[in-house]
Order: sequence, then C-alpha cells, then structure tokens
Amino acid sequence: MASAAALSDELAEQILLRFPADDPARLVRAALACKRARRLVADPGFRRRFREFHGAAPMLGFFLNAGVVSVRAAGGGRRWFPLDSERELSAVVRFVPTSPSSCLPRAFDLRDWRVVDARHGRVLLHSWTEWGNTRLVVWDPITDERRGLPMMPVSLYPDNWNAAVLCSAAGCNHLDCHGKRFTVVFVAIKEMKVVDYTFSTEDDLWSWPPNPGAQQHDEDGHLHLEPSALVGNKLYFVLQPNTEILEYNVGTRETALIQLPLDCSSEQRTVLMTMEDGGLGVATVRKSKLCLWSREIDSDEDGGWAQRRVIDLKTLLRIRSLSTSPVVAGFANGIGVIFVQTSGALFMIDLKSSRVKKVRKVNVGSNIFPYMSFCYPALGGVSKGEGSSVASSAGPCGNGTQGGDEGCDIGGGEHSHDHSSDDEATASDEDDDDSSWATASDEDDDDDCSWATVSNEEDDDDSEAMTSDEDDYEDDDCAYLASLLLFMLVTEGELP
Amino acid sequence: MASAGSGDEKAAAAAMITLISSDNEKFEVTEATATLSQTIRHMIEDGCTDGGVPLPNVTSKILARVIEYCKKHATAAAGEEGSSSSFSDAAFLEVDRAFLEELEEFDDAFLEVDRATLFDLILAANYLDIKGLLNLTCQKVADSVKGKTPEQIREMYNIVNDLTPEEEAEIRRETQWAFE
Repeated sequence: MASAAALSDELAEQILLRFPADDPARLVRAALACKRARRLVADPGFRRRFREFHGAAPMLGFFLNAGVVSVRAAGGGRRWFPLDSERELSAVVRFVPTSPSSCLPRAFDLRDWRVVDARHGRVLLHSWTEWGNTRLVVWDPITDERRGLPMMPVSLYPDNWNAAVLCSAAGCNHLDCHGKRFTVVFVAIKEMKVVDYTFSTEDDLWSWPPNPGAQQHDEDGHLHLEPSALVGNKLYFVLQPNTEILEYNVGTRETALIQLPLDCSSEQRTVLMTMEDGGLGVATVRKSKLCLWSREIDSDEDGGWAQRRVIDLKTLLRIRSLSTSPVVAGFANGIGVIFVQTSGALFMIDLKSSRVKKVRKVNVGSNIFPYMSFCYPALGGVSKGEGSSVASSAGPCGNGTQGGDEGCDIGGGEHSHDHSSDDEATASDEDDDDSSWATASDEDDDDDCSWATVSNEEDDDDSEAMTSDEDDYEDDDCAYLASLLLFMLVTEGELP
Repeated sequence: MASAGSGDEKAAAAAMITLISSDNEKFEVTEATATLSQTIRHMIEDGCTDGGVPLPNVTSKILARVIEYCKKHATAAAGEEGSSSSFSDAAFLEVDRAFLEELEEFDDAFLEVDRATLFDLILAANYLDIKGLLNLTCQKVADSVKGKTPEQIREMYNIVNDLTPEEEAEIRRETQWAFE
C-alpha cells in the first residue's frame, strides 16, 4: 500500500506543481506538513517549474479607479461614502482581490492616485501634486518596489493621454517579471497630433525625439485612462468615442489608427484583448450579447475584423431581464477572463470554459485593471540564489525593498502586510458603511458568490459555474445609480 | 484523420499485447490501449513484447484499473478530431462538448478510489509513463488538500511531522498572509 512517503521527490513535486497558482496559501499549508514538503516548496527550481507548469501568472485581483471621499465618522473611525457634494473628492485606486489567497492584502485603497495600467507584474499610477504638476509611479505590489518617474515634460492638461508600462528585461518570458527594467510609453493627442514619450529604466529619463512616424489625427479622438493591450511589440489604446484604436509600435514609434468593428457601437464600452493566438481582439456588449472580435493577422491596412464569438449574457449569467445593458469592464490577458458589469453585479467569465463567477454584488462603475502575478510563499529566505529577478527582494511578499526615490510614497504604505493600525486609508475597515458599493471590504459574509472570500471551507464546488438570483440585481439599482453618478463626477472632477 | 483507417492501421489496431502483473496475472490489451504507456510503446518499438510484457511494479488490482483508463482514453484519442480548447475557435461545438463531458465523467468516476489506491495509481502511471493518468491522479491529490490545515494534510496522507516547533513558527511568521 502506497502512501505519501512512497512517492519520490519528483512525484511529490508533480503533485505540488498542480496546486492552484491563485491560492498560494495552499502551498504554505502543504509546506507545513513536514520537512520534505517545505524543502520542495522552498526550492527555487520548484518555483521556476511551477511558473512554467501554469504557463500564465494567475490573477490576484484587479485595480480600479474609485473616486470616493472620506470623512470622519461620528465614532471617530474613518468611513467611506459615495460622493456627496459637501465632501471632498479625491482620486482613489482600489484593489479588489479575486483569488482565494495571495500575499497581497485582501483589499486596500491608495488615496490620491489613479491607476493607468497594470502589466507584467507592475502597476502604473498617476497623481497630481498641484495644478498641472503630475507624477507617474511604477509600483510592483508583490515586492512593494516603487519607482517615481521624472516629471513629465508636457502638461497633462487637458486629460487627453494614456500610458502603458511593460517589462523590458532582455529574454524575459513575462511569467513573473519583478525586476527593475521596464519601459513606460506615454501617448497624448495634442493639437490633433499624436505625441509620444518613452521612459526607459536604462536611461532613467523621458525621451521624445521628433517622430516622423506619428499619425496626424484629423478626427475628434480622445484618449482616456483605459486599459491598453500589448500585442507583440505594439501597444493599442482605445480612442473615444469608440470608433478607433491607436496603434503604437514600441520599437519603431510608428503610429496607426485602426477602425473598430462597425458593430462596436460607440455608446458601448469596448475592451481590448490579446487573443490566444497572439493577435489583437476587442470585446463589447450589444443587446445583452457579449461580442468578441479578433483582428485578422494577415489583414490589409483596413484592419479587417472577424467576429469570433457571441455570448448571450442573459443565458450565461442566468438573468431573466436586464434593466440596463451589461458592459464589458475589463479583460485579464493571458488567462482569458473577461469582466462584465451588469447593473447589479460584476461578473468574471472564463472564456475557455464559459464558467462564470460573481466577483461583487455591486457596480464598480469604471474599467478595471486586472493584476496578474505569481505569489510564492517566502520560506526561510530561500529566494536567495534564485535565478529569477525576484531574488533581489528579501521576501517577495511586500516587505521588500523600497525603491521610493523621488518622493513617490504611495498612499502611506497601507498595502503593507502587517495590517497596521493605520486604518485611515485602508478600505477594509470593519465598520464599513452598509452602502456596499463604496466599501472595499471584501468580507461580504453573506455573499457566498464572492471570490474575495477565502474559501477554506470543505466545499469543493467553487469551480462550478456560479449562478445568481435575479433578485440580487433589483436590490442594487440604487447602488448602481449612485456609482454611475459618482463615476461621471469623477470623470469630470479629475481636473483640478 | 477523416478517412477510414487503411488495412495496415486496422491490423495494427487489432494487434494484441499481453501485460503481466507482479502477481503474474495476464491481461490482453490492444496495442492502441497499451501504447498510451510510453514505456510499453518503446518496448513494442524495440520488438521485445513477445511472450508478454512483465510489469513487476504493478499489481493486478492496479493494472486492471490502469487498463480501464487506457481503454477509455485510447478510444477517445481515436475519436478525437484535433479538438481545440481555444476559446476563439470552434471549441464550443456541441459535439466536442458532449465528448469532453463524457470523458470528464469517466475520469471523475475513475478517481473514486481510496487514497492508498490513488498513490498506487500515481506510481503505476509514473512507471508506465502514462502522462494523462499521472496528470489526473496528481491533480486529484493536489485538489484534495483544498481547505485543509497542515494537521489534516498529515492525517490524510500519513505524513509524520518532523518540523520542529521553531521551524513551524518560522514558516508561519514568514507567511502570515496565508493564515488570514
């Protein structure tokens, strides 16, 4: 009779490799079983094989721009409220966890920042210091390294720009990039012309040599802070109103405009995707149907689109009637998960399996920026000597180095893992107001559909399709309206 | 693939191999079934299967289960028309879906075994080099520890805790987030 002891290290590792990447706590608990398990989990080689086995970094959660205000509550604690004209508005980046566990805090807010992009394990944040003065910071939530970029050589007013961060480490397979080498591409439309600035950690400065390849922009296109897509060496940004995509070649700096599929209504939100075959895709919702297109790789300059799938959201989400049309809210590249927002809830749909999970019972009101990264248990300082870039950090889980040059402290460091008593900026105040949308607390105890809750229970059906009751939605109409209003105000109120 | 198998292929499919378990029980299987095992495939290629293939590491009880798995999956492999799991392609054709669902149901039922048998299947899958079976059984063990505490994991798999209290405390300290 065989037991665990009968398995060779290789076979024991074969089991450990199959632990879910988005639930690293399970690896920790296994490592606590015995010395051999700890040794296997702690082995740097195992970490590499674990990455390769899973093929893509798991989604730990997503960031979104949630403009909320905070006031002193009567009891002295800090509470969050939806926007109220009498209260002060501030930009807030909110992190919403979606994985069963991770080394990131379960939920947190970064005050006075806006999220611009999240890619290759890094998050690009933007804030204003005072009128017209802007700053961009690249932050690695796993290592907690942050790097303030030099002041932009251009005024960001009016808000007609977007930017993207991407790993620039040579030979990196982008499965787990946490190094110091990255590039930030900043594009703006100024006087009907696309202008581009590139920050590279190699040079530590912005460069903007004349760009003869830049597109003259003869229409009324507008860049918003929406997630971009990276396909090969090209970045794509949606132009508002939703009729065109700006293509930017990171290598040659050439730009081009691509028409969106004609069926992409300009009134509906459009989300860019990197398709499985490596091409560019777009998703939008038309008449309660989620429509996915991919750009034909060998298309001519007109940019032909092929409709790849149409998913009836009423059927998939098991909703009888929808008071308002759902919208696409985001796409997690690499793992093929699309976010759909209905008036009452945010869903994630796994496009491969068509499985659905309800993330939150509320409307998040804006585009979301999924954050994908591996998150390993740091055991006995074993990360030392690992070939990967993560080795530079003593513990890959947040208490590592602080690259905080240029005074780019982010939101008072409330994302640290010690759950310090500094509740002021944390969103997970346990005394959260019951107006659910404004709270970032993930512990909606009664919300059994929430991914945000750690599911240590014995139920083994959490990979089943999550279904939902229709009555969930009606209840949240008020929250939806409040968040819609808030979203509109935030959009306008961003200008100082 | 669409064309019917040629005469040669049919002959190959009909060829039978004899597998001999550690307790000397003989199992007649088709070559298509047997060659799901890379180990046996190599033996066939080397022409050393005459008189049966002795498998001294596999009991008849386990070998019977392994053959059951291989038969089902060999049939599946023959019927498979390059089905793709790509979300952007025709993966959602009903035919594909029904086919995959049936296989999944088989696998789920196949895994309804006690833990000792599960480990024996892992060892056999590894020895016979049957990737699908190894993947299935290892995944089952990985899934089984969901939500389990270290103590429960030890109990489930007869693991002796040889970590000192200090070592255990250190791990917990370093990975506090995992216990929140």
